[in-house]
Amino acid sequence: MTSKLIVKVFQRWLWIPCLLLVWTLFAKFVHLGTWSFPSPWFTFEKWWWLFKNGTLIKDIGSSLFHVGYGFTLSALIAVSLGTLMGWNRKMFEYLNPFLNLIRPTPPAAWLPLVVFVWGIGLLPGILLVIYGSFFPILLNTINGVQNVEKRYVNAALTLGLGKRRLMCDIVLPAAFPSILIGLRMGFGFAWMVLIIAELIAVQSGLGYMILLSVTTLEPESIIAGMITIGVVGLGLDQFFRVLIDKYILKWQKGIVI
Amino acid sequence: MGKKKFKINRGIRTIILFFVLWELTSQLGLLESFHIPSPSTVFKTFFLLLVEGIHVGELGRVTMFKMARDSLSRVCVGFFLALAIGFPIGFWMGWNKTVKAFLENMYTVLRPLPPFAWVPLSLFFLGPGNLTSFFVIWIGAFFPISLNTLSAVENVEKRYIRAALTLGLKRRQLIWEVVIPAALPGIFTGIRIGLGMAWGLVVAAELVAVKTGLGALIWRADLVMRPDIILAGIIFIGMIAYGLEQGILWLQQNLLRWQKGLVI
Repeated sequence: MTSKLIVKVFQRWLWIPCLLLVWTLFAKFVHLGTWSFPSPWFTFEKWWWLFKNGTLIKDIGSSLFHVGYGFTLSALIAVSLGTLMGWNRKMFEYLNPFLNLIRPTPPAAWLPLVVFVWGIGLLPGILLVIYGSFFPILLNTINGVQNVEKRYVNAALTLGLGKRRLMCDIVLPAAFPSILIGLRMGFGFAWMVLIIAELIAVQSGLGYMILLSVTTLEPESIIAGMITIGVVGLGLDQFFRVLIDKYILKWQKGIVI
Repeated sequence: MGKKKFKINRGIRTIILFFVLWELTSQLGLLESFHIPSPSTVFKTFFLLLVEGIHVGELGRVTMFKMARDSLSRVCVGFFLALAIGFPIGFWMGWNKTVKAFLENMYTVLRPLPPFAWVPLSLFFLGPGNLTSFFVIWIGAFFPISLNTLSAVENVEKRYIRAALTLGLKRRQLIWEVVIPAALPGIFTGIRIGLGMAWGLVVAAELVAVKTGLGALIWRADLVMRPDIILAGIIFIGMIAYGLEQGILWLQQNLLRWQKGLVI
């Protein structure tokens, strides 16, 4: 009984002090190379300083701009292409093998080419985000549109809906949950890929900031930056999750049941 | 059968059209401002890299296979470390609720961080080189493997376990003969995702932190202004990614052939 209680308390909040304790001990006793690992307190101090300083806000803004820009474009292209490919069998047969040819290539591999063509700057980040988030969104959209219940379509056709109304009123709403899941996955990839791009080819944003901290020999800023990257990514992912819960759980229940 | 053949043809038509258009536009000089070479040049370079090797900047004379071997051996080390640590932890968490309660929060804290964000920290403490690439691959493959193992073990049909217990299986037998086989499909999913992640990360790590491998090859090709080598490298990287994925799927299908019979 008591052991169960301990587990529960640990799970609720005790893990945070435990984590900090482990981190502090790690910082105290582990020396990697000539540098000691920064302690949590030092890291948070640095984080607060960077935050007050405004540099962190600027970096977050830059990263969000890149990921927002690229992700929006990618979502627009992927959802419309996916709807087309899911809707039209011929289109699917024409395009699917070609897309499968490109799909396995990891995003990072495209980076040197993008840098070669457009140079270091804004564009590589945005293009890589588009590539990284494109396929999850596309595949989920195709899947969603292809798996719309045929009953709905037949019913709508029987009731005399035109093609456009059928698309807007039946197919897209029915495929929407799947599209949302694709968007959430795609966003996860977009964030991941953006960090790769910022570490290599973009000279702004959170990824660049932590790389810069390597050259200025500030491990505590690296960790502060990593925490920020994790928190921002988590926050945006939660945003999508709430969106999905709201739509799938509230709105869809009404229709399906 | 005839219908299926027709489907494949349609796809191939698009692919051929793409390459013809690419070749034509580059022959007409439309791609020159983008510095993108024609597909024929790329394929020539590809085979040259495959067979003879090309001199690329500070890398010296390189062949594709040597670079691929470097990258793949890194993936092997990092991936098997991730498997060796991720699988037992995931299994343990799925098996024991208390362990899960203790470790779960570690996952909520560490998982949202993109794996590549560990690179600067690792560069700082481990320095550029193999260690950093191992570490990043390990991080990238660890989470998919352990999380998929966790959910696979958790979702093993309770009926199987009860039946096995009723039949008097010992704990070890229960694990090896019931739980692990039943969880294998989920574990394979984790392995496939983890391996894909590992391959993407090794290429990315080689761009910044390591001086050999396919990622380093295309990055050096960038510095010596050889877009044809970059494209040839991208093609080879994509081929290996595809090969790895298909290899795991093939392995899964062969190892789990019995499962089809069981489920249906």
